[in-house]
Amino acid sequence: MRIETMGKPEGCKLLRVSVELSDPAGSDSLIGWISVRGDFFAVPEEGFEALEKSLSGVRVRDLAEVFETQARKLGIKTLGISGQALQSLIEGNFHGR
Amino acid sequence: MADKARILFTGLNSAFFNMGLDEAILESVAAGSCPPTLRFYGWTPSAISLGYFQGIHEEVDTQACREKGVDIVRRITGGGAVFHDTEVTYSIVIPEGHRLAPDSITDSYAILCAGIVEGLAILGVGSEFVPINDIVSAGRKISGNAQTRKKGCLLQHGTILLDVDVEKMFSLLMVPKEKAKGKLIEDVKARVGSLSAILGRPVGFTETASALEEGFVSALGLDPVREEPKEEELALAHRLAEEKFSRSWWVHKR
Repeated sequence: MRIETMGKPEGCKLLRVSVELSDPAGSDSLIGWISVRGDFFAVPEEGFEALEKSLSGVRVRDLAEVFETQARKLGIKTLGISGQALQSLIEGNFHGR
Repeated sequence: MADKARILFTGLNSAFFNMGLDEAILESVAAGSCPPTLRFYGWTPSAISLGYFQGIHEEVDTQACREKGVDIVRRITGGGAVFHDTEVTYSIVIPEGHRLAPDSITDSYAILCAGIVEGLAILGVGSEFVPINDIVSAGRKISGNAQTRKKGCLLQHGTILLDVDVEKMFSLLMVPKEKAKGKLIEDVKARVGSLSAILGRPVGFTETASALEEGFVSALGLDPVREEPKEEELALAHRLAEEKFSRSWWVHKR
């Protein structure tokens, strides 16, 4: 199942998320792929695609933690975006928010 | 003691050349062939610059831009889409580890944006830095800024609005479906300020850029030398404009 969601979680810039999830969509779903666009900052910028790719196969419920771990591992500093914000945006979609 | 800094006034140029020259200056400073460099410039034709991570079709009405002769360029920095029309743009490049370029991106925004706040004060405009990357005067955003780190250097660029045509801006940008365009325009008019509106008189490029130069020099403790870009920088800027910033693979990257 593909989900398109967007929002400006507290402390973050505008985030637009496209994500392909295993069925049935929920916090236990596995991420097939994820694409994040928006006004946020990530340095080095070129590393962000690797960060997105590293989230494939991750359960939605683990996204916040894995995003931060992978960003550290890849040496990417972020501003205006967080793993928790991405996870909340996606989970908010399950709850029809 | 003040640190030597090169000051460039490069006039009005295309979006593609402007982004090319910012990157070329970063290459020069990274190579150690130039000191920290502060540049002031403008845009002709008008253009929209996209943040590195923005999706072009989510942010910009590309057909309207084509029809109105407005160029679209993607920046090497993150942040939001900016309509570059009547404004002064600056860029500053500093080696990492310099006292003005601390590790913390948040801290370095605050340090560098102090130059803008001081420059605006010289013009008689009170303003303050609002994290992450804005400068606000009387509750209205007057300047947006974006920063990256590459090749051991910090590059920050940003704009100071001289005047703003919100209707034109929104004819070029995609408006979220959930917001009525008219309401959005009114919201933005209330949230965005320009020097001309604040001072109640037309404010020009030269007056503003000179005040900003003075503000940066004073706030950042710079020992300024006005120069022209080097031939190698201009050549690289033209090459980057041609081979990168004007190309679909770059502009339509996301």
